[in-house]
Amino acid sequence: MKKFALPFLMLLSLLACKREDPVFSLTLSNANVKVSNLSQDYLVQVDNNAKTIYIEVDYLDKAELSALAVEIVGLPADAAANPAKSTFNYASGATQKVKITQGVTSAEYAISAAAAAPQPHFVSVKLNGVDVVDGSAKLKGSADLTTVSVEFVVSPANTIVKVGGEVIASATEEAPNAIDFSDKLNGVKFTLVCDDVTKEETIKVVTTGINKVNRLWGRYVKPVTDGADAWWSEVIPASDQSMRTMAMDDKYIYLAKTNKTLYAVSITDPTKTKAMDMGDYAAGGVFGSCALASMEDGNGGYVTLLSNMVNSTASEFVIWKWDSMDGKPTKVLSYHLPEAARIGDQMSVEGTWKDGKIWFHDFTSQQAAYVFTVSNGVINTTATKVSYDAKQGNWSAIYKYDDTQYIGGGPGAKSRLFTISGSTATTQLELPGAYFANPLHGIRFFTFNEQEYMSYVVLRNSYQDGQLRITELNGETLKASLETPGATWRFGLGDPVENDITAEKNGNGLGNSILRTIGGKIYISAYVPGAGLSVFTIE
Amino acid sequence: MKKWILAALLLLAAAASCQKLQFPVRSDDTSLIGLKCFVYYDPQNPSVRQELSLLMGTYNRERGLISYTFPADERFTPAALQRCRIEATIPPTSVLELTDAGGNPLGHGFEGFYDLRGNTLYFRITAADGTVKPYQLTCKSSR
Repeated sequence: MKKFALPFLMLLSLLACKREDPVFSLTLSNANVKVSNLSQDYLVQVDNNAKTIYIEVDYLDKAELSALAVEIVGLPADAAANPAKSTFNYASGATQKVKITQGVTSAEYAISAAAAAPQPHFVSVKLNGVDVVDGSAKLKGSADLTTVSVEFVVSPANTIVKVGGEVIASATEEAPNAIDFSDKLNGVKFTLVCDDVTKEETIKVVTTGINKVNRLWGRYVKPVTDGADAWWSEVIPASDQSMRTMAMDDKYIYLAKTNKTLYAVSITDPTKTKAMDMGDYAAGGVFGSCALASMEDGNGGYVTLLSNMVNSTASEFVIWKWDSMDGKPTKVLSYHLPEAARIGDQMSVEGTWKDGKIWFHDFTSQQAAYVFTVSNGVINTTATKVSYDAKQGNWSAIYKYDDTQYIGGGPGAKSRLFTISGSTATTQLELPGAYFANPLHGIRFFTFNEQEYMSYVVLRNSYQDGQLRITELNGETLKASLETPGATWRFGLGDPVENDITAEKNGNGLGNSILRTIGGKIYISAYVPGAGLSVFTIE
Repeated sequence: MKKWILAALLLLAAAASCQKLQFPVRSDDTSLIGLKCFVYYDPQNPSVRQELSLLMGTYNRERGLISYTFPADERFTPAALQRCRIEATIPPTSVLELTDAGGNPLGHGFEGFYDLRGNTLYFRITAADGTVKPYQLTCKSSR
């Protein structure tokens, strides 16, 4: 037995001296794998345990799989790859072997590559030329949402777009499409199909600006669709140019009958009217032709101002003020013209009774306005004469847009956009007759639902009818907006349905519209003597 | 009679003690719900940052591969991309661990600033039931 002991110990010592083979310990990362000639981003996943490298190219680079150039980069100095770079056809699912050697150790990695599933999507979509952002496009409220033109670019390019099961092509000028987007709540569901992948995208329309203009009520002098309206004779005892002007505060519309009375009409209910207390006004004998306006009092209320008309330096020009519909008027201005002129046919106001201006266009020269400043309820008795560089008609008025830009409107001359600096008004633009028929009255500006508008009254049918118009202002400047005005809403004032009817001739070519925001809602009253009076609200 | 009652009670007690406790099913959710990057691009004002959703890049949800290329924006300079914080949203019952490329754990969660100039971060999400899913995030600069 002992004789076996020595060989056994020798064998044991030999086994103890046997060295283990070195183990491959290099860890690859996706940074060690570079793929060239792809148009899109790609993904690499290295599994160092399984010794696999998976490359995923974008669907748009699917064709590159047949000759994909893969390079092993960034290895330590003592490591190398074989092949370090190779172009291989991975399209059929085949794998490429690459041997990584570090020192005396090595490992073989299997490289596979595939294309990601397509992700059909809109690269861009335009509705009526307006970009879709975050799934919705802002279209104007005046747009016809039942026929919206849809232009789109899709990716991948072979993506088919369907709406309601029907394939649609991107709109072009030659081949427009028309999709109904009138369901603003749910939008339109687009189905994008690429290979066997389907994706749905919903696009909605958000309207800006006015969606709807409601006529709250209308009183028509000689309507053609609904018979005569006795209101104009029984409640308001006139229907011609003797009721030449109109004002509105936040509760009442005021109509002034020359040489007689001021009437208040409820904005919400025209059956509620009242002949106002004229106090000493009529007795003063200066209530011939007149001008009328309501002005914010600076304390959340309004004052109503009524002037006479004077056309000589000898006559006293007077403004009377009512603090409320039930009160008596007080005389707040006595003024004598310094030269031959005529003021008091129309009055326009800006600012408040605490800090404002009252404008009277000069009927005689047609090229100037007398402007009275108001400070803390006191009218400065020295008027500033502002001269225009062009005539602006006789029964005209000046309407403020901003601190320097004003528009003149009235019969006898095209409306003009002026830049007013000091006592000089310089024409920026004569409003294009193609869009703005003469005369315009009651020009007001407002922004509703991110859209700017100009509302005004225009006389029609040889001054026998009138319209309220609300025009979108879309330009960078007011001048640009007026040169190419946007969509215009039109509402007849002489009849609830028909336009350009033959009512009573408005001899002076007058009219007015007033805009007030009452309880967060926009109200516009519009009046043309001989045609009618309406109140509109905006949605 | 008492003997029988006692025996029945003993039998019942014995049976009850053999009943298996019902544990709630543990979640196997290893999903990555969100992955945000905040680039602190203004060295003069460390409160200024731009938030980016990294999952908006190329993302293979099944394999957990994310590749994000920063937009060609003047704010995303190489210096700015060294000052990025990462915020992951995972299921409430899961745990996120950073790992190296070999899958060896480095620590829990994303902490501090990361240099995302072409680097790859490896992490894994472990669900409550022990299911593990590895993820890798590679960010690239387009500048």
